[in-house]
Amino acid sequence: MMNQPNRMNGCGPSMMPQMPGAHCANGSQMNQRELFDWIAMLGFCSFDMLLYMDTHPNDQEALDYFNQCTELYNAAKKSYEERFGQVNAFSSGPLSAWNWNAEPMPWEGGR
Amino acid sequence: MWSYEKRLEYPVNITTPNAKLASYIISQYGGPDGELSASTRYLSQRFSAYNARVAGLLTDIGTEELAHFEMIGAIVRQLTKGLSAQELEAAGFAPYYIDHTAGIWPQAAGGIPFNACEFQSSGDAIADLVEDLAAEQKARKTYDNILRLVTDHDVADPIRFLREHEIVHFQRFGEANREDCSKIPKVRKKPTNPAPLEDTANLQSQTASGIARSAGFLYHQFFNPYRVRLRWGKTDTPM
Repeated sequence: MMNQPNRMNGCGPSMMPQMPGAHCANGSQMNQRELFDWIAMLGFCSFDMLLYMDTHPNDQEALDYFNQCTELYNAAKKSYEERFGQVNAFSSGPLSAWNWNAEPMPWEGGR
Repeated sequence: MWSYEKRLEYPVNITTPNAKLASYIISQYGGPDGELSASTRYLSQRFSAYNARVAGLLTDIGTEELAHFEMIGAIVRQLTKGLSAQELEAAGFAPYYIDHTAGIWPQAAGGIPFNACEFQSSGDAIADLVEDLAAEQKARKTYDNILRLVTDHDVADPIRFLREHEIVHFQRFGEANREDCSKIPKVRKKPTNPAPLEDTANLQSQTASGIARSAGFLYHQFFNPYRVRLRWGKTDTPM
């Protein structure tokens, strides 16, 4: 967490999204809304790094940062799916009940 | 293939409906420089992308554009949800309402339906990438114009997020263009699209008779406009 690259447009450690409140990294202390926003932050970070890696495949520092982002991203999604519901239809489970299409869609305030 | 993640890339929580604004913003849903146009452009161009890294980048950016397409749909939906026919008419939304009620349909702000003629998939690596650079700037321009008309923070916030991404994509396409140029054949020291070279190489290899084969070879050696030397029996693109 402390060795993020600082070469990309002067964005160093501060580029890593800040977790809301003093929560532990996997989001187990967050409420549903906080954890959902935390997933959005890490998803943004991961996707931005994905595009950067596509055109800078040999940038080792950036690859380390990409790995940090995606590790936190996957952990946050896993934590959310264990506690609140599916983010992706296939990544959580085994399921005891089917709520994938019962909960509101994201544009209807679903989270 | 794709797998849906049930969340918006950036949250959209609009509390005040505004149909007039929706009638402008819908242009980024199905307009000439909109997200559907962008996504379809990149996801189509990638099939003929010459370089695997560029094909991969087109896939990833095309995928993110789909997420932006969803965000614009969410914005238009939230801006028009729950309004009466009279309220929609007062906001100048009646022509849209007559055909689509409060449904989301890809059209430009001026009512022109989404149209694949708004973009190109040319089969030419350089032409495609340079078009992509222009496309990102045109989309950024549309977001700038939208932001000049938006006063509601709930709307401006996700629009700013989308605008920033046009700039990121522009940057990545610029890098891909360099990457691509470094790997495609150089003719007279200039990067040249390989597609016509592939065609002429295939022509030679598919010719049945040896005489015709030689003729094709000689044609290549002395008359082809690209002045790329072919070797006997070589069927791949000359590199």
